[in-house]
Amino acid sequence: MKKYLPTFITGFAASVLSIVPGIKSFSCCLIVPGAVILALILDQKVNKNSERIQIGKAVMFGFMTGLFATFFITALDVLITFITKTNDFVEALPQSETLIREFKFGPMAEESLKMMKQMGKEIQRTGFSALYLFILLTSNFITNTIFGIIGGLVGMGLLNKRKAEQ
Amino acid sequence: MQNKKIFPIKILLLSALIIWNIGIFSPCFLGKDNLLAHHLIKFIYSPVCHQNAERSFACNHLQFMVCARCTGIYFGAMIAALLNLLPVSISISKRFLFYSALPMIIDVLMLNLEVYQYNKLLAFITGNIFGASVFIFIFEIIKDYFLEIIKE
Repeated sequence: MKKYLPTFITGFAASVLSIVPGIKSFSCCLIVPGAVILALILDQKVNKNSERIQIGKAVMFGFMTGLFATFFITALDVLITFITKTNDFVEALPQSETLIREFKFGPMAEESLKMMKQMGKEIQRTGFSALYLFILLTSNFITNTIFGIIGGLVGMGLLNKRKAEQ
Repeated sequence: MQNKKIFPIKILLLSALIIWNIGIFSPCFLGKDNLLAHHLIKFIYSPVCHQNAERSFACNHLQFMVCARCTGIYFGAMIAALLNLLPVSISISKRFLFYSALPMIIDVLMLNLEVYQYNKLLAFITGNIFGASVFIFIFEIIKDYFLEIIKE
């Protein structure tokens, strides 16, 4: 576990940055890969390691940073939703309803909207929805681990290249 | 000879980008009734984009999964991955990567200074340029690593 401490730290930092509105709209997909590169640099500095980074280590660091970022992002989102009893999903529901009525989407769309409205009502009433948590965790896990692994590969290449030039 | 060895990597990266872009463009394939699928897929792309409806393209009255700029970035990367299958070697420096981000950065700055209003096509084009450059840069890093391993 101590081996992955840098990924824990940078994963947490990435999660905090991702909930800041201005930062997310500008840097979007670069937050988690950036965190992975930082984790690799931190690991080298802390362990005073000057060896080439292997692909296995880069991929694991990417995956672990993505995983930690997932947990923290989900936890922060759920906490903010619990306190405010609203979120982007709940606020977008009236728009979806207007869309369905205006463009006459059909009965299947109406059924889908019923399910989403139920989830939205649960969030507005209790501040929490188990289904929302599951969907959020799954979607964050898929995206953050993929982008984390990409960041790991890029970081490995950049740091190894820098070492070779030195 | 080298091209043969790294061809599987090129195909793998292109496949991954095609799948990712299919997700982004899914409102065009899903149809109006699949609202639940639309929202579930939208959740998957939510960590990588603000998904502002006003700044996104739409199809079948449903917005794309990411904004116009992000659509441009991933679409540009996919086109670069497709052209990468050709037996032509292209490499770009870190400086060129920075220059390719300049149109995007200038566009964002102009928007924030309210010089002009958000233009989806302009955002898409600037995203395209950056996305293509990022893909080539990342591919070079992965290619160099695998070629070194093969040499050893």
